[in-house]
Amino acid sequence: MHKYIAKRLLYSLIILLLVILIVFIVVRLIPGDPIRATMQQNIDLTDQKIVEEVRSQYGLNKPIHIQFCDWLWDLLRGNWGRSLQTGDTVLSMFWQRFPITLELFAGATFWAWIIGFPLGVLSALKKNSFIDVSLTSIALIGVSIPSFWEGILFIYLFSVYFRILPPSGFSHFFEDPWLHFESLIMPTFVMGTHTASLLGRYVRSSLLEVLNQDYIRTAVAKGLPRRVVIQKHAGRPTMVPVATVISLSWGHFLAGAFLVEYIFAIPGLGRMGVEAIFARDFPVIQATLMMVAVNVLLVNLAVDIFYGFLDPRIRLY
Amino acid sequence: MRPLIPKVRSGSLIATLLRQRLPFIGILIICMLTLMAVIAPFISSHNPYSQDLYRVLEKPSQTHWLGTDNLGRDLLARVIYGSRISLYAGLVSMAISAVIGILVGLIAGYCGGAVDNILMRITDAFMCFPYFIFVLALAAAIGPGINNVIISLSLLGWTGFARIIRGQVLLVREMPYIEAARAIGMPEYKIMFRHILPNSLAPVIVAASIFIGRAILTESGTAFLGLGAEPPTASWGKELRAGFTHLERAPLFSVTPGFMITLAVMAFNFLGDGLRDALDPRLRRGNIACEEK
Amino acid sequence: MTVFGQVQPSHPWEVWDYKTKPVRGGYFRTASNVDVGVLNPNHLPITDYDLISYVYERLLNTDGSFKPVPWLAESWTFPDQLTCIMKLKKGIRFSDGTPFNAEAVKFVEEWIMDPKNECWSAAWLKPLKSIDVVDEYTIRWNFKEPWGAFLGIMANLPGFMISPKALREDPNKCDGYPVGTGPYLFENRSPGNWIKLKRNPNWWFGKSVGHPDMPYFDGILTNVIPDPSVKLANLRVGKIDSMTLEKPQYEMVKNDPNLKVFLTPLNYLRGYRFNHSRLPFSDIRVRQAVAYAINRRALIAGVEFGLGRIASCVYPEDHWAHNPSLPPWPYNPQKARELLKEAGYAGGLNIVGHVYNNPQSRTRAEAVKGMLAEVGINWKMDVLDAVTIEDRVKNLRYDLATGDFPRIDDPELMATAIFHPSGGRNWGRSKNEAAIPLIEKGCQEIDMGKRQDIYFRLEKALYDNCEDIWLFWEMSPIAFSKNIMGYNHDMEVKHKRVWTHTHPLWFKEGRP
Repeated sequence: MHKYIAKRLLYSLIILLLVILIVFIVVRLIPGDPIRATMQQNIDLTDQKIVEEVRSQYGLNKPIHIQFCDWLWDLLRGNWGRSLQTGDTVLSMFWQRFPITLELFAGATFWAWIIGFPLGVLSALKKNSFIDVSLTSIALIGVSIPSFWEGILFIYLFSVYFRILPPSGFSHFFEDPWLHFESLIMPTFVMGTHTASLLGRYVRSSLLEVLNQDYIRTAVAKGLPRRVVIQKHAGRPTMVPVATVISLSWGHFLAGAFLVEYIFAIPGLGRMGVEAIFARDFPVIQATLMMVAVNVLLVNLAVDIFYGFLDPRIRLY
Repeated sequence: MRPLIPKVRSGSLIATLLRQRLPFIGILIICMLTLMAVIAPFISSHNPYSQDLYRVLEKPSQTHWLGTDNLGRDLLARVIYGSRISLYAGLVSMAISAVIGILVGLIAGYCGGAVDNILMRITDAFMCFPYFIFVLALAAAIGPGINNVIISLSLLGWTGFARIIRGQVLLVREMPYIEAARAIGMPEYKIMFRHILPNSLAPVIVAASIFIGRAILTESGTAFLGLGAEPPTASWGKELRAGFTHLERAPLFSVTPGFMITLAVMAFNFLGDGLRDALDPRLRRGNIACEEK
Repeated sequence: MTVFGQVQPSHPWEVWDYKTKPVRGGYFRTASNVDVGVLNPNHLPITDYDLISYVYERLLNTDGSFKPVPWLAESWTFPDQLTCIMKLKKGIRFSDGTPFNAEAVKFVEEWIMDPKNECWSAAWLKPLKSIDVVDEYTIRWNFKEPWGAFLGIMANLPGFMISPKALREDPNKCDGYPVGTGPYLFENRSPGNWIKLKRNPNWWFGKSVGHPDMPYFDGILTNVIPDPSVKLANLRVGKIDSMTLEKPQYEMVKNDPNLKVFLTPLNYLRGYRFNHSRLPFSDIRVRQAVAYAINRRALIAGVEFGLGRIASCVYPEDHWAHNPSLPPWPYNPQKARELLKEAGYAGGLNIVGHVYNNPQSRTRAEAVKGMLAEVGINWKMDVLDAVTIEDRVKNLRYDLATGDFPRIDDPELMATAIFHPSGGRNWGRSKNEAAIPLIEKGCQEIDMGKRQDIYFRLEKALYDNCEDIWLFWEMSPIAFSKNIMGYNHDMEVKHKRVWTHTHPLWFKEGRP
């Protein structure tokens, strides 16, 4: 077992190094001089000296390998740089937004469960019936709808025409708990429908696979009522891969979250990343890509180890 | 006891697919969309590029069945032509990703050992990045244009294919007929491409179908943010974006492209689902614990 | 009409004839597209000038034709070409108690000019040699050369007065915690989400005109809402009290009974710039062809939804430097084709360029691209971000590209930046022999009347040379919720900033 964990850790380390390299290369590929551009937008500069001084403040004058080592060293020490746009430290921006995105994720997962789980179970149990077909279609539609389209339609329906929900924005829980939850209903629902469809399909196939097993057949042959068979014997094995899906969907969520965060004006990680990309805010882009990748890496590592505990056969890989 | 990996015979596969309701609908929709994209100039009565600035955002009428867009161009024509970009992006990025992914996965799975290890770590590293943000960063790095978006999609999309192929190759290479081929002295690369590859393609086909759907969705997402096809080319994502600002005045402007995106992605997902069901032997067996109608 | 206060109305905007009595109270809620960024106007980036103007005030303000008028500075004289003696208003304090006086002004301007403070606005103060304190409320400015734009600059960024005590103690803190003389104080902020200002109970202006209740709001809360449709939805359900509308939204809300909607003219030029340094646009005939090919009226009707004033040249029609004798360039596609043929492009012409990546710019450029295609010009137009555009402009890798200019206050800034070879947006792309000496004279002419004449002649020189494409001057629709009182649209249009700053709004019942 220990050998397995050690191997996983080693692999993760290698992957981490590769990730860092990829991030650095991608960001350096982005052309243009961000300092000059930001300054030019606000004032017409004829003084090169001032531009050079600001650039040197951000270390953009040094050769590239020195920049890489500097950046790596800073990363390890916890200095993730300052945003070129707002001047805040990237780390503080991250800590402000990470809990919000996390909360969105929790809310989306909640909806995903409420909608997806029963959907998956029902369509598995009534396989190939009309119910199965229609539920599967609904699930597939949920996966296919562009989240930004869904979001805006919801805003117009529930905020402008029916006026029952706030259209956007985000209030912290401590300021106004009721508003906090109200403003999260629509965005989490939009994100949740997407995950719900994925979850429903996964539950369906997982349950079908379990129900196919010999021990289920034995239980039925024994004379146990179907419901007991499903609840007691099929229940737990179905959940294991489902738990994996949820944790692995965190990676996909981070990406899809941007568009929803943008539409609903929620100050989360996804929005921060994309705004930074458009503004060529290098420190933020670098840090966001890093954080997001490392997040996914850690989750995968945890899932791998967890699986290693559960299923000894996996440890052979 | 693991079941035999089914060999894909196209005739029986298509027949199986068409028998199922959802995949059938999926295939039908895909065929219609492809047809629409190909014969676009013949079915749209207006030129999608001719603008009339005094007649912007009009409601549907006799001359313009879906109304006009924000530059006075016929919306129906733009939606029809938009299918070209979406399908082009989806298909080409899938093709490139599949080629890269299959090569990587094949080599990794067949060679094993250190080569496998290195290639898989690289794959894992790329897979750590959420699709959309990485595509966005790349597209920002290499510039605007639909071809650059396709390149960005492919640079990240190959990872899924690599993984899948590798898994299959790991199974197939233990088969007795591979050992037999080696025994008669067949060169390695021939074994790889003539025996292992065809037998590993089943899940790749499923993944390919679903990838196209995801690619169309991601392309429309990047088009929504302003990257992607250059104006005045019509693209569903671009129309969706332009239509948002005018949702109240001309709802069809964004409802229609959004609907088309959903339809296309859905069709590919139906198809992928059907392919998976048709190719996975385990699900084809009957179930005692399930109701069958 | 009753006029309150002790100040004799020497200016037409110093009139407060409110039909109903202003009511104190409530937080005024607005929305902005992006977070306000850094709150020191001399550091980058500034994204919200309105917010800055709530907290800081300038030495001079600007009137309806963008001429500088007294504000924190009361009066001034120019004893010779290189000196200005300025008298400041007495009895004003910064919100941290520091008195506003000549020492404070000297400190702030020297702070800006000190390179270790990394102020980008320092470039605007280049002609300034030194500042002397004559007495507590009198300053002498010494210039290196005659500085015609001096008053205009003091009505702009470097003229914002920051508390010297705050700057001395912790200049970095000023980036996040502004201390000024304005009607509002910084209260709190959640970066990326909102920023709150609270009322300054000791605002000097209200007291000086006999309205100690000014400003009437308890504070201002600016939310960050990037999407305009969501902003509008918020306004309609009453979650914010005012917003700047996008043009397409104007049609939808202009008759909404719950909103008050107005159209404000802006000192913002929209157009495109030529690269004169290479073919084809080094040939004036091709430039003229492009100018003839664009139907400005249709553009404003279709793309701007009628919200725009056709431009004749660079300075807006309500600006003092605007030359009223120049007509807008006519639309004549036939003439455009003839000119192209004459210049040798009868078979068509391919040009490249770029515009900014926002919906309105894209749409406008697409429409223009279509118009150019009609006369045989194929414009490969890239939609890019600021950084890439900056790179291309610097390296002259374009033929026809984005050429907007926001916030045209002092005419000298724009003229130098765009049309003078040393300008920050020029990089050698144009060299109008007639215009350059005029620009240089305008920099140095102190007399207002003579300056105006110089700029009139400058516009003519640019016009005759078909220097750039000038499409229209901006108009911006704003909407208030119906219980916002005190806004007089005619006065606002007539006197602009100085009216807005002296006539704060209030809620009808003291709350949103």
